[in-house]
Order: sequence, then C-alpha cells, then structure tokens
Amino acid sequence: MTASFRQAGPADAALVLEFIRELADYEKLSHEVVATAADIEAALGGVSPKVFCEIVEWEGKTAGFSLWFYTFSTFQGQHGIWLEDLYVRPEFRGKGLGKALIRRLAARCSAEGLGRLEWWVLDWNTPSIDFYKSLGAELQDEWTKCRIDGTALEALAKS
Amino acid sequence: MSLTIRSAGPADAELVYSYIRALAAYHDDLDLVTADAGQIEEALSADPPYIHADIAEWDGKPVGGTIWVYMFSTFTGQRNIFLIDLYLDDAMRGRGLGRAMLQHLAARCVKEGVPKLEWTVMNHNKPAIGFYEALGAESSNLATTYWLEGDTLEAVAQP
Repeated sequence: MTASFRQAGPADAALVLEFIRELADYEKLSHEVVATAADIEAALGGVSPKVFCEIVEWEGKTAGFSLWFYTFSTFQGQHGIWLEDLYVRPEFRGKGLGKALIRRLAARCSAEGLGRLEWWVLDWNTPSIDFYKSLGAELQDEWTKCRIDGTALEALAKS
Repeated sequence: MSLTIRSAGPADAELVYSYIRALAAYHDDLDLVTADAGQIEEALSADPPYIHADIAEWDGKPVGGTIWVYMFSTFTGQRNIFLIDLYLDDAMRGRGLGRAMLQHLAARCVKEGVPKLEWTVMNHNKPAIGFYEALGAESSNLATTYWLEGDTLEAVAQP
C-alpha cells in the first residue's frame, strides 16, 4: 500500500476545484468559493504567480492535494513558498499523507535554497494546529491579516 | 508642493532596500534582515519581477514606498495583491501620503481586476490599525500564519 505523488496541470482543473470546495467546506467557508474550473485551469498554466499543485494518490485513488506558489521575503531577500491549500480527504487521513505533502514542499525549499514555507491556519482548527506544531512550525501570532475588497476597495481606489 | 507615485525599477534597488531596513527598524526587527541590496535588485530585475514596488515622491524627492507581490486565492480563483511593506519617512507623516500610496495600489487592483488587497499588521501597532480601519479594511482574527524556516524547515525536509 503506497502513496504516489504527481504534479497537477491545467487538465486537472476540475479535480483541483473539487478539492478546493471540499477544503472550503471543512473550513466552513463554502460561501466564499466563487472560483470556476476555468479560473483554476488558467492559474495552473499562469505566470504571475505561477501556481503549482501536487496531488497525492493512495492505491491509485485521488486522496488529497497541496497548492502553492513562490513568494518573496524582503527580510531574507529570498523566495519562499506560500502554501495556499493543503487537504486530505477524510477517508485517507491517518496515513501520513498530509505530512508527506508538507515534507515534499520543505524538501523543495531545501533543494532550491528557499528561505521559508508559510501558510495560514484557522484559529479554531485544533487538529491542524496540533499537526503543524508537531512539525516544528512556528506560530506567527503577533500579526493580524487585513484585507480590503469589494465596495471598500473600489471606494478607496476612487478616493 | 505635490505628490507623485511611480513604479520602482532595478535602478531603485538601494532605495527600496533602505525602506525594507527602515521598516524593520521601526518594528525592532533589523536583526531579521539578512537580505542585501543586490538581492533586491535581482528581485526587481527578474521577468516577471519577484517583487513590485511603487515610490512616493514629494516635490520630486522619494519619501516612501510600497512593496508588494501577486498571490493567488483558490477561493476567488483570482490573483490578489499582497502588500509586503508600506513605508513613509517619519517627517512626512500627517499629510495623507500613506493613504495616497494605498489608494494608488487599490486603483491598480480595480484596473487589473484584482478583487482583493491584503497585508498583515502587528497586533500592537495601534496607529497602523486605526489607519487601516479608517480606510474600510477588515481584519481577520480567524486566521494565523505558521511558518517553517531555517533549522525547522531543514528538519521537516528530511525523508
């Protein structure tokens, strides 16, 4: 019984969108998902940022994914990886697949001389928080995320 | 007396680097800056650039700037702009220049069809938080950043 990994390409857009929706559902954020398969297809073939996606299969069945892109740290003067999504389907959990996906990204950082691997986690997501802490990840809780979008963004743009 | 905002290029590397250091010093994090100006020049010269920057000039003299990157949101299926640094010379505060720099970036978002402008703020930075809220920005206390870097990144990278 083994896990196999493959890079997703634009042809996997529908599958990747399925995973995104399942992850959003787990995060109780389904109402925020407006992405279409065409959007994902364009992103996987895009340039700025170039979006990468790795799919893990267990005994030939699609089990989960990581989706990421390169970011840049002005403090380090180096690229890092921003892990946008990490998800393993419930029936495939407990087999170390999530850890394997993160480990592979950490290995990529090491091989490519990247400074950092970073991601968000929801504050109530205790199982994931425990998992990340077990990896040695550091919580950056001095920072709060801000965003401006929708009508507030347009209002600021015109002001 | 007037404000102009222009895009930064590789020739502005030293200036942009000085803003990175000045912002780090403001946060008492200067020891975390291991980047050098050469890396910032490389970042601005790359095609596509690793980072983008705008410079604010008052009467033709640079007084501050923004440094930002494109990221991708799987929920919206669109890229968003992540503002890494917003810096303004101390002596130039109180004239609405910080707001003008954010307005310029918001206008870029609207023009490019980028639905979201995001950044982080340190939780204790009350002046900045007040400023952002006045612009209509929302903060998310639901999500916290985790990262792996240095030794912990190397450790996770091992098979």
